[in-house]
Amino acid sequence: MASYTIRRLLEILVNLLLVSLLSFWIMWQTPGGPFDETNQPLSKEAKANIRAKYGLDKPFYVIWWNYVKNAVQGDFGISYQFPTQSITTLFQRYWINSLILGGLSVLWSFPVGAIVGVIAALKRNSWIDRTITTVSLVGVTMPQIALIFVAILIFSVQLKWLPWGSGRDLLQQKWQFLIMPVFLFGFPTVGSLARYVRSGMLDVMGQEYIRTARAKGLVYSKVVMKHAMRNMMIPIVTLFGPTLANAFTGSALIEIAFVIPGIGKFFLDSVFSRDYPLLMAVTLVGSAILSVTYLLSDLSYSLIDPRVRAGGGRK
Amino acid sequence: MATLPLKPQAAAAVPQFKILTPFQLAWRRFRRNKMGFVGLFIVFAFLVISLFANWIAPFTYDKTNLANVTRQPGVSAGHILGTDDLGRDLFSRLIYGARTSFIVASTAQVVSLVVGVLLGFLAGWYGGWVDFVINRLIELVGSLPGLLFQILLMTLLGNGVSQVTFVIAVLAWPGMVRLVRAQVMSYKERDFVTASHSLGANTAFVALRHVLPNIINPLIVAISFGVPGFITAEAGLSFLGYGINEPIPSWGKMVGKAGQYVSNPSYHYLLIWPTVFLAVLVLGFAFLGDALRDALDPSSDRV
Repeated sequence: MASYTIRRLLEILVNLLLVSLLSFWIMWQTPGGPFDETNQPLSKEAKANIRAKYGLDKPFYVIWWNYVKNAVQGDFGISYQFPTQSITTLFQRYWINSLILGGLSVLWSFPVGAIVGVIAALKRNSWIDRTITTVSLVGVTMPQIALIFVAILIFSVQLKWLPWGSGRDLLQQKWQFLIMPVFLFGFPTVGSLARYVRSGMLDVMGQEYIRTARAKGLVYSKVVMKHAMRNMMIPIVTLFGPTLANAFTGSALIEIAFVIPGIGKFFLDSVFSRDYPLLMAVTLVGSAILSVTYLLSDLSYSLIDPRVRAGGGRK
Repeated sequence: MATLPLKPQAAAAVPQFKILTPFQLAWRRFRRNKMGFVGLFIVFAFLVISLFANWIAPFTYDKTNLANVTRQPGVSAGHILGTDDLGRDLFSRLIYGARTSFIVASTAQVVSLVVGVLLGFLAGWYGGWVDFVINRLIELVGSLPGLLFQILLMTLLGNGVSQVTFVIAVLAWPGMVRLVRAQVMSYKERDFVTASHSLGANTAFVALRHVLPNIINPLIVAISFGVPGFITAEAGLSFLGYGINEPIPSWGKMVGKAGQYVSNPSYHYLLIWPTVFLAVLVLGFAFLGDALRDALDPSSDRV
């Protein structure tokens, strides 16, 4: 297990290096830049000065390697949009909104998805089951932008029950503001979790050890709680990794539509102003978070289910 | 010598079973699912609309008329769903938007399918360093923050139909590779594959004749969920302004543009219609895919 973890961590490091190289290369190739000279042409010397200041006068691989060296120490360079603030400070300011949104969504969607999935499995082929399966299918596949605007149209514009889009930080908002984004962010998770849990539960309930437990006289509810539920942890953990990662990286679509200054919206603003250091930083940190959550969810399999050996049973 | 009786009495006692092909069995199971039929109908209808957009659409998608902007829906002047902010017929743009969605989604699907089957087969069949390299590639792509990375790529490539398709396919293929790889690995060691090998069949023959037919069902299911996913992805990118270029219509772009005027009720038709088209097509695919999974994979949960 320890050697497996170390191997995976090494792989993640190599992977992050590649991600940084890839995104660095993309930004190197992208046309346009912060120095728009159509209105204010710069002299050659001034331009050379600026390029030297930001270290842009060296070859590609040198700049990339310097960047990686600094990034490891938490220095992601100077943002073109906010030259006075460090990128770490900017991250903290914007990320908190994404984290609140994502965290609250996980908090409601995981229990609800799991419970709803179990109910559907226990009431198999009833109208409850059919309703739950259909609604979860809608949740999984329905495009977010469609749901977002239907919700805004109904609850904000027509009924005027819920506010939306003031552009302020979430901590300064009324709690009602959070209802729609948190619901919409969590809805797909509820859908996919309910479907996973339902099919997993049906699978487990057909197993022989469940029949044995029933045959030896155990109460139905106890069989469900003790024997079936334990096995239901696997799909929950499978989905928890990506969902948590999503919560960290935020949903750009929801943040744009509800004008929440989170990391997704910040990223788009940075794309608009070609703020390469910031784009690099968000991509890299997002990538690191994704890799680590995947590793954690792989590791937690073997904690929950002794049958699963971390390392995939490789000899 | 007496002639043999043409209809022996004993044969009638043997119950006559009609032997069904796997396809017929699947069709039987599919027929039971009403939602699947609704989905099939929706997808088919949209396919027809997008194929024959030239004949169905009353106007071209790019004809602007600045004297006739944001005309409310109504039968007068032929603009049944009204006109947009440049005086273009909304109904026509929605119909051509279906074509855009289908072109982007199906091309992205074909690309990721070809790459997925090829790499998945290589990784699953040969294992070893081939598998290692392909797995590292999957991990690399899988660890990219999806939408944000796609936007980054779009700034490099610029907006356009082929660019969006490429950007979507770039992040979509690992799922296909994983699916094919796992399937190939499970069939590689089966007896009928070994038997075919020992009879002298080469790898390509075994792959096409024995392995591929066995993994076709999960592939069909994956495609029926992949296409609506790609339609959604295109809509999302276009919504954010990093997708289809003007004047080519895209539902996501229309939602994004009209979304800016969401507080003004007189422009709501510009927001509602593309949303409805997008939602109906994607849900149609979802119901179809769900029914296909039940029909093609008898071991799946809903029997």
